Amino acid sequence: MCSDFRRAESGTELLARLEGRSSLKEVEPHLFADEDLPVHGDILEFHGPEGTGKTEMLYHLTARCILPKSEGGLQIEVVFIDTDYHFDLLRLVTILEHRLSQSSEDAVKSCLGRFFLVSCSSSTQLLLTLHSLEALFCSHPSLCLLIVDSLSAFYWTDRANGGERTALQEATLKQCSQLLDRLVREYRLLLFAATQSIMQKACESAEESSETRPSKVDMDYRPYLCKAWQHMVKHRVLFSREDSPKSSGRFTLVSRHLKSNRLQKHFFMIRESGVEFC
Amino acid sequence: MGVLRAGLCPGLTEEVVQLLRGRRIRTVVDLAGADLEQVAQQCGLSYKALVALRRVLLAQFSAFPLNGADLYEELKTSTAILSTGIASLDKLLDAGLYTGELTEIVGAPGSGKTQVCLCVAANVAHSLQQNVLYIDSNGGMTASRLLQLLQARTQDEEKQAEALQRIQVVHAFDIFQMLDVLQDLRGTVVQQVTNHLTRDRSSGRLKPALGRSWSFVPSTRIFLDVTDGARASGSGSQRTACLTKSPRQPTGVQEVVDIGTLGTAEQSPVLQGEQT
Repeated sequence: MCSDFRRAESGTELLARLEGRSSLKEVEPHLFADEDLPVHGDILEFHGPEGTGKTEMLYHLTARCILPKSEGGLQIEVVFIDTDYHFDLLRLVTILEHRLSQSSEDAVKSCLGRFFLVSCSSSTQLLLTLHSLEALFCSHPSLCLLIVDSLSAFYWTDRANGGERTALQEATLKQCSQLLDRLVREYRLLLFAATQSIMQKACESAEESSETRPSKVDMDYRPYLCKAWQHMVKHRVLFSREDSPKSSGRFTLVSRHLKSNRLQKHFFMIRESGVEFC
Repeated sequence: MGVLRAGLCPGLTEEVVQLLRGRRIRTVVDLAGADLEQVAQQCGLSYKALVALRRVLLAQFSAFPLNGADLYEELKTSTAILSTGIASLDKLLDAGLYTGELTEIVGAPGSGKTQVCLCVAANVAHSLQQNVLYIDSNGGMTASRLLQLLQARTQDEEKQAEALQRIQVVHAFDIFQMLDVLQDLRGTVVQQVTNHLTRDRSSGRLKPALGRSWSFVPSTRIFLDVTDGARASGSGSQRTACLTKSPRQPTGVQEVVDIGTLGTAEQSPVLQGEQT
């Protein structure tokens, strides 16, 4: 069905597609722990406990993408799949207003015209929505960014519905992951997916020093989603927040490229205008 | 969800359902992921009909993408901020409780959670004239206290009665009753819940109960604690409210709430419940 669409692409559409896609390299260099900036077809996982700035970072990325080129943005379209029902459009509008040089209603609305929000309430609905979004990707050549917040929202519901066998519990999420992989590859998108760290470490040493050890953030990652998803991820970004009073309000992100195992650590603050790297 | 049966959508007859079932396609998900050309050949159905069927089923069962500009227009008219009636709490919450969001109040027993809820319910029913659904799961709701709070706001008995009529109380003492009530709830709501405290196993610090998976759900969390002075005197009514999670304010801010004088113009008590 969609292959007909793509064969009949006109010259201008082709240019729009290629031009739009190449400019994704500047979306946010701090997130990528590799010398080579992101290519299309990259999949990044944002992982972290609650209140560590994952959703704020997604708003920051969205704002960067939908702002027009004249204001420093990339002027591309974004699809935001919200499974948590936490999406706050008014917060996104506040961030846009702070970043636009002239924050008129029309300017904000023209930015928001490049933004699509989809809310899903179950993993089956997520799977079917991804199927029907394919038509959207076909018809919008400048749509290059796909955000899922968050992919682990249905984990417990799926486990409860799947009975005793892990394969059955993970079946829908596995199909979602495979479909996401295919869509990202075929339409050359960039995917950011947030997952929550809902699993506790089995044994936490009581003598942990209060200073954060450099590898501590890494140790916090415990994989629990299906293997299909874990194999697809190219970059994993771990978010955390320091509790000590001297660094109040500062967030940390550690970005690791999974194949080359390179790490990069950055600090950022969250202000009224969104994420600001220190 | 989404088992294929006759009449689920136009074009899905019993015959088609049986043919598809013969090819192991039982649910909408199976059909969405199937190779339709192959299925058409094997079942003897028309490819175009299958494509049309798939499109209709996807439109029916999947979520529809909304454009940001349209959503913004809609939100501008439907979002509201409900004041809690307590000035210090409103300061913490950036003017009040936002529609479409879940606010959690956490505290030890006796820290004032139910008082806060009753106050919010009274304020919303009386000053804002909106409906309140109060779901009581631990028997802490007393109508006489609610009346007291309303009497402190207005002497007019008719207005008190009107406000009381806007508050609907439901008792849900097990999770199934709770789910029942929540399933039927429709409309633009502001939600406020309370939660208890437990101790973290390893670090010994106090944390909200119900674990990590729940902790992701509320957008805002307020921690109520007995003020040190009140604890020392044994029967104080001062409480400290600390904002520990917020989507729009910096966290760690604290305000003092006096639950004894709730009901006066400046300080309204906060109650637990849901507001519609």
